[in-house]
Amino acid sequence: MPAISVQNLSKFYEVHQKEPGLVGSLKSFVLRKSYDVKAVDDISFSIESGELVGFLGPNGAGKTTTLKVLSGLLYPTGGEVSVLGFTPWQRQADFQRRFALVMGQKSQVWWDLPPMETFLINKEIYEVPDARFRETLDELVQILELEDVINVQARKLSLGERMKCELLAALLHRPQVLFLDEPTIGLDVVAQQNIRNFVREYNARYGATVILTSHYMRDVEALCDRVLIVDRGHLVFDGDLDTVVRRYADYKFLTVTFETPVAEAALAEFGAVVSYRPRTTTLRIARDVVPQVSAQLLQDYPVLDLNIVEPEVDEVVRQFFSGGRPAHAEVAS
Amino acid sequence: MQRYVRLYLAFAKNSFLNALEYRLSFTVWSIATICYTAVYVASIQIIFNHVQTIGGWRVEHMLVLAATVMIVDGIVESIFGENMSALSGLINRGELDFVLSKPVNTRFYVSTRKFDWDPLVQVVLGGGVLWYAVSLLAEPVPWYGALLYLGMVVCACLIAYSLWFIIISATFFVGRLNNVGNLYYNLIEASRVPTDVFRGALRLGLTFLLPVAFIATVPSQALLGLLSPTFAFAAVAMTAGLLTISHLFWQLALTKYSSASS
Repeated sequence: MPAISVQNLSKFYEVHQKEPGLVGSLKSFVLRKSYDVKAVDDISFSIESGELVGFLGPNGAGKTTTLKVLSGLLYPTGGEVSVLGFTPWQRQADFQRRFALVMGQKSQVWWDLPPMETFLINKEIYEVPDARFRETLDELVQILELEDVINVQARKLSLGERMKCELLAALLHRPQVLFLDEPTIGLDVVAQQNIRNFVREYNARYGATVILTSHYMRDVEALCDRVLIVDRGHLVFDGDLDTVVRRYADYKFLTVTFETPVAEAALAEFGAVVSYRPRTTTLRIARDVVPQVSAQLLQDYPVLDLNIVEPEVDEVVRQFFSGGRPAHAEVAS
Repeated sequence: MQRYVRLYLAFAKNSFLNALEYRLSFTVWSIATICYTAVYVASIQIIFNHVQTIGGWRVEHMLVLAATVMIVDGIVESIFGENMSALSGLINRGELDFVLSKPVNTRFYVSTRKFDWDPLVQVVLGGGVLWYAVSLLAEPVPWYGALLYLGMVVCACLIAYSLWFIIISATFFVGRLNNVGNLYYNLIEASRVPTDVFRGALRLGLTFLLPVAFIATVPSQALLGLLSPTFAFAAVAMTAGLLTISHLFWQLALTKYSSASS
């Protein structure tokens, strides 16, 4: 039996529409027009126990809404969902003891107190026995390198440290299923890397099923073999990451800064020019020829700086649609 | 049950640690409360320099009433005050997500998470005023009067909390409410006057529609031996009724919760 199974899930929100300006506001105050936003529209997938799955999509695609339905926070408009054999929105305690939700933009750690105090509250809530609490805490503190942090007031911690504490707080009861919603948002590269390493380690050590949403391609690349791509409420891709990246992000961006101005036409020979200024130009280069092109540029021109950047996930997904499924472009988002 | 006691102790401990982080706040609050109490008691004394009774209430009766308001308000604000203020924001910003995803009674969690130690000063001062007022009474208060008083104070606290909770729960339906949340404070202000002062429909309204009478007037009457059994039962019924209504309303509101987008 899969750990998570979702059948034809839909979630519509009712949204009020307002015309701009004062008159519009007055009108909408008297007579509200509302319409449904299809945040999630007929999505089906299933995830096996122990899988680490990436959930990708642009803003407003329905990632967070799906996670919230899976966590039992939202009642779906339609469809069937089973997580570890439970129906999430019934919010049975047995279910809630088996999963955890971490949201990069919301905090459960008490702001004014050291994170340790939040951990102790969670210990009581999840009824974790003393010995096991100690053991899990020591283990997680060690992996996350939080020794010096857990007794410092949370508001004095850096964003990265706080995020680690959020993870720790969510994992003290050793959930079998973990929902991570943008866990690396706003973090610097080192902190992102730390979080990534930890998620991989947790998945491996405890065999937990993990769903991860992120804007950052690197997160997903580093962690997930399988990705689900959603856009405007529809599931548009379900498969291994290599396929997506090869097929839909088969290029990288190369930003070059020259010592002396270089003509656009000369650079266009290397690849598509995305943005051009005489001294700094960004080129779109096919993934597999990036090394050759870089070498060629360094050889032919006086290069001051050369920067290779992955395309953003948002863009990959956009790309995916502009080529593949134009029909959804009309759906209101 | 035992689990919730442990959880509550953990909450109270955290809140205490929290209060210790902000020592100055406690000091300032204490000074303000002491000044406020002095002015309040003095103003009652001044009024009674000019009149003998108000609606049949003598000065010592009014002081009992004043003390009761302070005690009830202090208890409710200590246990629930910060939580009620925070709840509206939890709903509005979608932070209820974390609470809802945990194996814990949601209402218990959002109602008791933070214990505010500051208003306890008011409870202590209220106790002092009560002591003074009772010493002015012609006859000592019998033990069953004191017991009934305690029971009525508990009812008063639960009534005030239920009303407050119902009002805040309405945030689920409207997204945000600012001034309506202040209704609790209006309730407390209104209860500073004995409802015996009012007549007819207004008095009925202040008893059963907006249960102002049960906040301070009824407990005070209990202490003064003036409470009819009917009203004692009415207070208990009102408490049970409001707790039930607030529970049902909360359940309904939760089904309506669409957590604010992250």
